Amino acid sequence: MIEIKNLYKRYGRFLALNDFSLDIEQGELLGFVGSNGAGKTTTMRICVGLLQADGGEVLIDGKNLLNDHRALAEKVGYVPDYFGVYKSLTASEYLHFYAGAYGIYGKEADVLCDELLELVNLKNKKDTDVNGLSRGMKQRLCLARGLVHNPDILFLDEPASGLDPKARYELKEILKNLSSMGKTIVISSHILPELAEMCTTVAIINKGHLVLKGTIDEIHRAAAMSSPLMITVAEDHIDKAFDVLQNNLFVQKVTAQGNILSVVFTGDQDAESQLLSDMVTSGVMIKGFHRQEGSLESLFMQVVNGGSVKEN
Amino acid sequence: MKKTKRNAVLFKEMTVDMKKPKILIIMLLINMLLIPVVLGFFLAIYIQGNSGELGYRILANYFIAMMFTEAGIIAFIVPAVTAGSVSLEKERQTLDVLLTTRLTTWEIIKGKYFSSYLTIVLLVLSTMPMMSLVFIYGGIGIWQMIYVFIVLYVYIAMIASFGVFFSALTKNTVASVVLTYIFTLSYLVFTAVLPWIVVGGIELVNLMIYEDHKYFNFITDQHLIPSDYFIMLGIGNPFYAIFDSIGHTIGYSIEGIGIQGVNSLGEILPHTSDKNIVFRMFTPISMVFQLVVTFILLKISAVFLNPVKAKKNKKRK
Ligand SMILES: Nc1ncnc2c1ncn2[C@@H]1O[C@H](COP(=O)(O)OP(=O)(O)OP(=O)(O)O)[C@@H](O)[C@H]1O
Ligand SMILES: [Mg+2]
Repeated sequence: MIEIKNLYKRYGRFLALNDFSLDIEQGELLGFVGSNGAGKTTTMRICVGLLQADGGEVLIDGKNLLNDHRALAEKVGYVPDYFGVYKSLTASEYLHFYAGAYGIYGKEADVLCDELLELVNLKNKKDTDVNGLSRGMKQRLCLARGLVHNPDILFLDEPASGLDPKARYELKEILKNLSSMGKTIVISSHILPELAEMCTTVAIINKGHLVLKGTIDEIHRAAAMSSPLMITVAEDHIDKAFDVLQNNLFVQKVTAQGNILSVVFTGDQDAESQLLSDMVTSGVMIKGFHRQEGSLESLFMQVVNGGSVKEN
Repeated sequence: MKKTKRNAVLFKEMTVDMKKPKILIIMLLINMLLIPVVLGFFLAIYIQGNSGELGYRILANYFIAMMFTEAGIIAFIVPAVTAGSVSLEKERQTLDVLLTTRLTTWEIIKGKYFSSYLTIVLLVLSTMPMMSLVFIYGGIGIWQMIYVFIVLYVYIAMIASFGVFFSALTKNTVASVVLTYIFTLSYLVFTAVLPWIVVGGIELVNLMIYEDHKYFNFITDQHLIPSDYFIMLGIGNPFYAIFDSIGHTIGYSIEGIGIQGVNSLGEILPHTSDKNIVFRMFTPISMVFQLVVTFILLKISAVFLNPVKAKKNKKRK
């Protein structure tokens, strides 16, 4: 559906996007994660035609639409991370204006705007001045605005930032609803766990480069793998254990604390069992062998700090 | 999706933004500024009496004075109305979203431009009753008046494009307003003096030719460069067009002023070329020129606003 290929973007000397590539399938609800300044907004703005990349291309349904403004505009909806307001417009007038920007007027627009307000639970705020809406409501109104032309693809830049848990929950429900309608949705955030709750896939960007992309299950598994193996051995078997660990391909780093070895291990569960049995056959007395509980935060930190842990 | 010809930006601004009282206040202001001129007009008639050629001339003079006052007021009002048109969208952060809609930058610029333009037209229309008081005493015919107003609206069209242009160019409205005022003023002054600088220069040359030849008795027109063509360089100046369009009925015209000016500058030989038709076309040519300037500035604004193409042009090699 969307193929982002080798994007480069420079701001002066600063390389904001460095060979960024990402494929997004139709119907995906993609969480686009990265720390502040990672390049999320830059990527989105390039995808919606608000910014010119210095290299690379974006294909939508196999076509490069960045030079075909109309086609791109029909295809994608964009909700930026700020809420631009016109003075003295009501929520309904606000939507009507953007409907007009897509050539929808009159009765058709009335029906559409009502539907959209209904969809984002703002029907009762129809005639409220947009400036008088709460942050969560504005966010939802923006979302409705992004949907005015019924786009196939929706780019939402940090839609959940600043929302309280209730508003976030509501947003999540709306997005799931939209996703079930077959829309492809890209949501950016700098909080992985927050996205993990609502997305089907996750892509992590760091310093303008994609470092991880996977389904939510894969991400959870990767998270589990991201924490070290804790192996407790008999006091005098530490050296022997080291020998075995050194010969294992998946072992990245071993730190000992007394007789407890903390092993950064990149293998899956089969590899883990293999390691255990290797140690046993080598005669290492093992008192304990387990993975520490992995968390999405720790995965995120590891991926962002440690370069690429590719998964697909 | 239905595709209508209606311009969404224009539609919104005309329906929603017009509700604001701002425009009424400006309307009141512009009319108040015209009151002294109109009073002066009646005072002059009262003193001079509306009789004979003198009265007739005074009427025309006053009409010109009123039109100039109006045009001057417009030069101050138009930047205020137009210079924020696009930059305000940037400041409110609404431009990006607008750019991602189906609207092209050309449509956005057109919408912004015409909504500003129509606002100003409304303002100018509000002065029509006062302006038409001249009719009570005659002096200016209805068609004359309509013609002059067309010239005025063309002038408004052009300076409205200045504001839109700078607001598309700059990031904030203050900068845009300042630049628009400076540019509008410079433009008006420059186009006003340009023909005289050129004519003056030519006359200086003529003077030298004359000095060179006067001892030999054979100096004729052919030896001198006709300078009056260059009065046409004034086509960029809307005040000349307004003056020319009113003046024709009363024997003033840019041509007349031109010949007078040339003569007083050179004060040597009658060396004006007989290009009456060219001169008679002064106002229409000027209007076409102003509309072309308008179109070009708006087109540039649209190209500038386009994030994808604008960047391509700016791309460093
Ligand atoms: N207009 C600009 N001029 C100069 N540098 C910029 C500009 N826009 C972005 N950058 C830089 O590019 C990098 C990526 O910015 P971007 O806004 O894409 O990050 P982000 O992932 O959206 O971050 P955040 O989570 O803070 O929104 C940042 O380091 C930022 O400083
Ligand atoms: Mg951002």
